[in-house]
Amino acid sequence: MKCWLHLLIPPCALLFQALPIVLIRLLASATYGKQRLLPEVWEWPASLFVIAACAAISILLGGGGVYLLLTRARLRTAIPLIALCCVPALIGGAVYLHATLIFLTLV
Amino acid sequence: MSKRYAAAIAVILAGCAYALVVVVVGDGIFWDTSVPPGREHRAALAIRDNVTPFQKWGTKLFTWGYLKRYYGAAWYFTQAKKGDLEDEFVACLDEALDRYPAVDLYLLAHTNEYVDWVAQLPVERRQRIRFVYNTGCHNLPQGPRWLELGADAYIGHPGVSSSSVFYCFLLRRWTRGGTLDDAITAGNAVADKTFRQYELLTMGRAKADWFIQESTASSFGDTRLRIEDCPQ
Repeated sequence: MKCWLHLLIPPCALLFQALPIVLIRLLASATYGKQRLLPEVWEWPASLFVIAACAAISILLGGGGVYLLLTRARLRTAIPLIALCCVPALIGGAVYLHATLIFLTLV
Repeated sequence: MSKRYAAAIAVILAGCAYALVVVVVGDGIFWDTSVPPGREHRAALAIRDNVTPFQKWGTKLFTWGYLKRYYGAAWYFTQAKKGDLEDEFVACLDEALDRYPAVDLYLLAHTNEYVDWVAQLPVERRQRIRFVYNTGCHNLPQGPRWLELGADAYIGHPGVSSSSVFYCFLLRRWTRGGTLDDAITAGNAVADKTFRQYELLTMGRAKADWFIQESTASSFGDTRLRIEDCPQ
């Protein structure tokens, strides 16, 4: 398993990008759907926590994928995987990070 | 490749991704996010109309942090149906006007007539309304009526506006201490850039000029106001 980790993490980083979209939709439905499932007082902190967590996980998976590929794979394998999987994950992570910082009024 | 170089490349790529996002979003980074003086003298009310759950959620997520941090008190209403929450909103505004010398209103709703709600309040109370921002389509002509009611400044959009773009830029600049005029100019400029990007992205199917014509915000009243001002 360990020797395949560097090939497994980049696709996981890319696939993870679907999860924030699903989570955001769920949060919106839980707060403003037909029935309010999330109390109003939790709406803002819970939403921020989810977005911040998505940023952290995307950046860790994307950055970790780059590191593992560059240290363990041949360049001709590493470069396409970085371009196709890790870079989109890093961009996704950057979007969620910037959103978190804006919502927290830090930037 | 050595571990050190690999780690450096991973960090540089992450940094480049963040820089790309900041450039594409186009609003830059505010390094000074300190709260302008006089926070205890100002309050804000915001109201969102009945739209999709995602739009309601997104509007509050963005707005609430700024209102909570930059105002002494803030209230946020989300309507569940058209015309909903009139009594609650008017009562809350009455309380805010009683307690705070400067009250700002954010009307985050499609074409609306909240101006009629506010008109119910006594004349002397309404003089404390400082600034009204209305995202509603075709609601720019309400400006003179808001000033007549007692507001010092009003910002609205002339046509079928894509005001959410402008609103994000406006709120970030206004709360950081710029004049309303600066916030409007910069907000319109960055919104224009966003519409041009959208035109490129849709390969010309969406017309930036149309969005600009319909959405460009204009103002009535004293646009030299800053968030720390308490006009009387």
